[in-house]
Amino acid sequence: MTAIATIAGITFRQLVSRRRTILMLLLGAVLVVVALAFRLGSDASSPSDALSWTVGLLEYLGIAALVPLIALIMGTSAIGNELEDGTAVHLLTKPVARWQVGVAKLLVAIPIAAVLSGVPILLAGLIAAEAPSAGFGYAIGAVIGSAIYVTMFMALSLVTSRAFVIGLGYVLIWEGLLSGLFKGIATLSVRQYAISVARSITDGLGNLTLGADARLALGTAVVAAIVVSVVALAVLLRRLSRLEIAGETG
Amino acid sequence: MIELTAVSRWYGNVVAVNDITLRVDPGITGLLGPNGAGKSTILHMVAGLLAPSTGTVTVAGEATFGHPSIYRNIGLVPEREAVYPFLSGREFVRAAARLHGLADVDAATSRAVEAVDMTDAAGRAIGGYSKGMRQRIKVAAALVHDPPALVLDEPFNGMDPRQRLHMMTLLRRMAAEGATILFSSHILEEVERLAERVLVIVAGRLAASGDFRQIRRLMTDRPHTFTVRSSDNRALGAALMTAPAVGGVSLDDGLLSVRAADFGAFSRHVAVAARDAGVRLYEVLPTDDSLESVFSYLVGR
Repeated sequence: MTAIATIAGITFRQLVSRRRTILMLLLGAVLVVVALAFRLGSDASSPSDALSWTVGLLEYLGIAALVPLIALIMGTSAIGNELEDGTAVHLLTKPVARWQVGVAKLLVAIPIAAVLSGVPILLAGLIAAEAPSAGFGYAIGAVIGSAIYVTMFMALSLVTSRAFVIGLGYVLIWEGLLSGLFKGIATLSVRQYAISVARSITDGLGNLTLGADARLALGTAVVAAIVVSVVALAVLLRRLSRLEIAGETG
Repeated sequence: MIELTAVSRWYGNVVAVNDITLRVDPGITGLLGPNGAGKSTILHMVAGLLAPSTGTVTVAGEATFGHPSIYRNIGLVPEREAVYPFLSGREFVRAAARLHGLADVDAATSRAVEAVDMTDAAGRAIGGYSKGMRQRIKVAAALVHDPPALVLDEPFNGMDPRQRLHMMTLLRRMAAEGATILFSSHILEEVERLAERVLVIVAGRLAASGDFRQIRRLMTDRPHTFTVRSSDNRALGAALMTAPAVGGVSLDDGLLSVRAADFGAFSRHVAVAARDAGVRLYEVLPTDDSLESVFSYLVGR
């Protein structure tokens, strides 16, 4: 436990001491500001209009953009940066099993990502719609999405040094483009899991006509999310336990 | 303590370490070789960060790769200077002590910080440290659990002479207390000053090993050529000609080349000879004394 706590402590300071934490706070602030502008500018709209607008905002700007972007930054930095700059050696040459290093990193990176994307989504939801359930529903979706994304991207950073670009490609092309075109792809889309969970929590959606991507049933989403998480975690821990660090000059 | 048996390591098609068998016992052992010879690869295998492609690497009888428990017996000071810049020196050493699960973290931390003479600077963030200070705090973190073996990859890089001396004293003291110390260097003088035993690595192979005096004799009992620039090359050349350490002198285009039979004796003699002849020395340059040429001499024999 001491080992995990120590590594977690270092990882926390590593991840929040960077300037880009401020950048990520700004990204979240954009969402809140847009919600605020909507609330102040639309006095004529009915509650159901407001809800449908809020759902659109939280899904397209929140779940589809803010959540994966922050998780991508956190997931690829948590171990990847350390491997790149050589500081990982200090953790790996201690009598601590490698899986503990991986778990400690996840235990820090996931909550940070979840807070940085979940809190703005919660605030934006509470501000834009009069019913609070959208804010809570999508915040929970953001937490679940963050956990899966961070695990995936951290595993990816141990498989390739181009984890950021490939992760971005997954989010933009696979989830953004292809999953809108082909139905089957949605079952391998973290975004769809998060949306599916969020919608099932949010009240009053039955009266709304939601976008064409309302296609993943909650049960399917939960099962697929668990499978994807377990696979990502297995890849992460396996790669970490076999990871080699080459000497600088060879 | 540290044993490599028939170890090779390749990266793709490139062979970095080629069939090396060696043993490192208590005391100070220097791993000497030019850059790119495979020293880092060997040390990374010893430190369990790389798996050997063939052969076995053990520390205190236990295979290194994939066995984190070896780190109770070994400390590694990596070559790369990267250390978490946001931690203070003391926090960094403390984290190492906690990761080792030491019973008295504070006492171990203070002792290690003091051993590297960093007590005054330990409260400051590592981001503001000089290269030499980073090196020392890394050493403190590596020896916080008092390991029987310490492995250091190019430990003197970036240190000023005073820090270098301090580090050498520290390593000698640890060795005197029974520790096994293995360090790499591409600088002959560092190894000469510190190591009791030398392993010479050239192109991934163990080219020579043994007592330093033996290796030194192999390396220095060969002709050296120096080029000398001075205020009066002709007078200096004439003065040097009489010295027993000098095998020949030639003067081309005002450039004085001296062939010395004995590197050390010539180095000592040239300044004396210049002073006695009233000549001012501007430059004394060994022309073929790059480590590579020393090694190729050694390997070519």
